[in-house]
Amino acid sequence: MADINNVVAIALTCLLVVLTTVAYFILTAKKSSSKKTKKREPAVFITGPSRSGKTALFTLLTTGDVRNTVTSQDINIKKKYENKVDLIDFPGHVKLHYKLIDSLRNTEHIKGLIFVVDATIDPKRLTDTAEFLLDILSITEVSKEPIDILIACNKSESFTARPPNKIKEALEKEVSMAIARQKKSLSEVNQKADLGAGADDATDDNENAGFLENFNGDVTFTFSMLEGEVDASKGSVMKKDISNWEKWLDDKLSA
Amino acid sequence: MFDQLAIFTGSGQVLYQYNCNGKKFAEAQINAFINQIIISPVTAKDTLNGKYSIVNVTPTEKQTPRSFCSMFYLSRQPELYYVITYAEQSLELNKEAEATLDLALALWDSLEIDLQVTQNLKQNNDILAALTDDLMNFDEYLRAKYNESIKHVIKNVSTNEEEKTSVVEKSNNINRKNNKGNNNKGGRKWGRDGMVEDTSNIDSSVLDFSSTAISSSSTPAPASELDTSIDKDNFGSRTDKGEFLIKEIDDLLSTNVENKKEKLAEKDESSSSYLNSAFGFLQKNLLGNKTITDKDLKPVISSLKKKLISKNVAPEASDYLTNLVKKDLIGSKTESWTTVEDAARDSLTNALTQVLTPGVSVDLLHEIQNKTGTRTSDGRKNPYVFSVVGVNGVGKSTNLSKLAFWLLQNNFKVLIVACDTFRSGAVEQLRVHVENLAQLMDESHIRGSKNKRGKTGNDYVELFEAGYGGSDLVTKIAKQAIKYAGDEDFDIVLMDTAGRRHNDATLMSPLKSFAEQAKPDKIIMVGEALVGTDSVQQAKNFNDAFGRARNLDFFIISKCDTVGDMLGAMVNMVYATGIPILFVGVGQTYTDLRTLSVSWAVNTLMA
Ligand SMILES: Nc1nc2c(ncn2[C@@H]2O[C@H](COP(=O)(O)OP(=O)(O)OP(=O)(O)O)[C@@H](O)[C@H]2O)c(=O)[nH]1
Ligand SMILES: Nc1nc2c(ncn2[C@@H]2O[C@H](COP(=O)(O)OP(=O)(O)O)[C@@H](O)[C@H]2O)c(=O)[nH]1
Ligand SMILES: [Mg+2]
Ligand SMILES: [Mg+2]
Repeated sequence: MADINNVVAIALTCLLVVLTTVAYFILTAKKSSSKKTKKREPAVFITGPSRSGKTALFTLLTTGDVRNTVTSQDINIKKKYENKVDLIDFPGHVKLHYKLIDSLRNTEHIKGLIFVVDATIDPKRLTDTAEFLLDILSITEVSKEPIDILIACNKSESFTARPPNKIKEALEKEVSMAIARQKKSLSEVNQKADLGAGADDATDDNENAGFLENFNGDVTFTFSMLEGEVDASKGSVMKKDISNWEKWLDDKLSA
Repeated sequence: MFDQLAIFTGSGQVLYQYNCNGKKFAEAQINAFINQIIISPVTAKDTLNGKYSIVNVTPTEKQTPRSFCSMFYLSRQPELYYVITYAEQSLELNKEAEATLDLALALWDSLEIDLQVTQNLKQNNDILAALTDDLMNFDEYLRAKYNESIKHVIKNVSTNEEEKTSVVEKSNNINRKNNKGNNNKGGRKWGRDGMVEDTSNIDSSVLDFSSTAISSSSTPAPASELDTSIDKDNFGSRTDKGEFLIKEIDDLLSTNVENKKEKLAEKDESSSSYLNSAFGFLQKNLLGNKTITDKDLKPVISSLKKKLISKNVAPEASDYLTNLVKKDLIGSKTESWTTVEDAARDSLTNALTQVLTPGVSVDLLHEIQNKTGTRTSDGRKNPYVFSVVGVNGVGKSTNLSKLAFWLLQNNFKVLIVACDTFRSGAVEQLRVHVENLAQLMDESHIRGSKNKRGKTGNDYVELFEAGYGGSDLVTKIAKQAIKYAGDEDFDIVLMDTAGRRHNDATLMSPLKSFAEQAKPDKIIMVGEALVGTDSVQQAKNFNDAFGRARNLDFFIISKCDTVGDMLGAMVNMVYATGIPILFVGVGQTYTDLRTLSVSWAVNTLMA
């Protein structure tokens, strides 16, 4: 009888201890979760302007099929792609860039970023594309690990497609000009400086400034100035001709 | 008749596509639709009977050749868009579109495609895995039913046409007659399509035979046969097999309704047990991984709504935003260690970000450089023209001057035009601004002196004025000023206009001809952060004032320094129009103009 009582008492104490520790951990975890925790899973991002073929590429990589697609409003994600990374296809619409920007900030290990461009577009009309790329660079370039970028020049089966080196050059030129314009544009509102109240999360601005500072004066921008490596190669999702990109991807996944 | 029917995911994967006219499916049209719903909010008033929404898509740039109308349904678990497009709204076509969506949804349900899709997504599989057969059946059934019901449309649409063959007439008459006696479940909704008459005629043994024949599914009716039946008007001559197919579909539809109900009931029971609810409490508050229900969200939503309203967001806009949150969250699972409140806050943050982010990238300096870099055929400059509109006293003249100052610093030559010929003192106020700006550009400038062309200002900035008068004078001044700017090599023309109340029709109507005549590159509305709920209507009325062909281009929200964290007016104006905010005014000096930082605005609103 006494034995059983003892056992019950011990069991109860153990239970109590376990419960309080669990409760403690839950509470502390909750507190820290309000400050966004970074995603741990390594990832590869597929980005680029609208209609460049990101979702088509994602589908080809994950299913082996070429399918019809429509404009994305949300991400496509393949967890454990090749048993290694989360492969994520982001929408290209400007209004939805924040989804990518958020993820760039909140993902700990980005193994690589595929920036898909439509190679048939006139290089003179790459302004928006370059501005988008600059937005991305201003985050990837200040991250702890340098992030490598592949400029995937899609639709190369078309006879109007430009060669990758031409596209790369055109992008460098456009990014240079975008940087120059950004320096001339009105600065963003800032709680502390402009409105004299409250503490603003000024970190974002500092980050961008840190990257842009390197381009003072009239230095033209080239991709070789970046920490991360930037490659450009051609391919065609429609013709299932993406071996260049698969090679690059294999490289990043095994690194 | 309809154009296309498409079923696709939010992430852009197409599950089903159908061109109702037998042509190649054109994604461009669906893309234009998606573009429209990304850019401008779909509000409650676009919603038909609380289920389907109607969106009119107007052509943007080269993408869409013509405007069209679309009706869509958005399912949540899984998230799928069911979209039907057609030329334009009419009572008849809307009704038909609704019926066709009903049909598509019912078939989709009956074939339980949703279940497979959900499973595929959950298992991180190809979304179309194991769906080939189901989707083929769906296609076959939908075409069959659609072709039946199309008779009805044709009859109503082409009443003048000779083609109204007696066969169609007859079949419709019989149909109506049969509907009265036809009391079995299923198919009732579709009772008006020609083949329901057969339902009552076929005895059950034949029926069994047909269903086994088709569910073995090795011999589906060839699609081509069904296709041609639209064009060739041979409605009357359907094969027996076709009739059985319709019957089979109706059966499928009717049995499924029962099943669904049972399943739903089961679900409810299991989730209401005591243990579950105790665990549910823990999940909701601590653990995460909880499936969110309408009930969980209610208190959270109402507190978020209160918060938004306390920040000066109009009730209408708050409703819209919190509805987005609801749609986003109901049925989804909270992440580990997050509560429903956290999830709702995150979701609202995203909704606000998306609303406030411009739909097209606006790079003013780039556009200005592009235009002023070109010359007209007779060698004159092409100046870039802004005009500023808004209610009285919101800060039009002040912010126009701030804009001028920024442009001057970027080495552009600026002509400021006094198009406010209405309020006395308006021209004099602008003259003061021009004197100030001239002095800021060149310290040696003597106030009140004339430049080499005999005008107020100096080499950098100049005032174009022509006194006071009616709205005819305004357009005249505007046109003269643009010509003058071209002749005298100005890069920028900034036109100040008279303030007007947005609900004063006699003052609002001249805006249309002003925009048509002066053709400004950018029409900017200045709105003040101080205005309350009225901001929704203000923005709407100004945006509509330029007619169908022209919209506002962007907002400057002034006096943000005076409202603390009550930035709701920004949300209201963008919500009401889908027009982006580019700049915000933060004070009364020339340097107090800033680019809007969306993350700043969102953080301030959510704080
Ligand atoms: N000619 C050609 N067309 C392609 C190729 N790859 C994709 N496309 C087409 O490009 C269009 C856009 O493809 P998506 O993959 O939907 O584009 P996306 O980059 O995901 O666009 P968003 O979702 O709007 O950001 C589709 O119509 C594809 O058929 C290609 O290699 N060659
Ligand atoms: N605090 C503050 N005051 C402003 C701002 N913009 C304009 N104002 C003031 O608002 C008043 C009306 O401005 P005005 O340009 O004459 O308005 P208009 O009638 O629309 O042309 C002036 O006293 C300005 O100084 C701003 O961003 N912040
Ligand atoms: Mg896509
Ligand atoms: Mg004024």
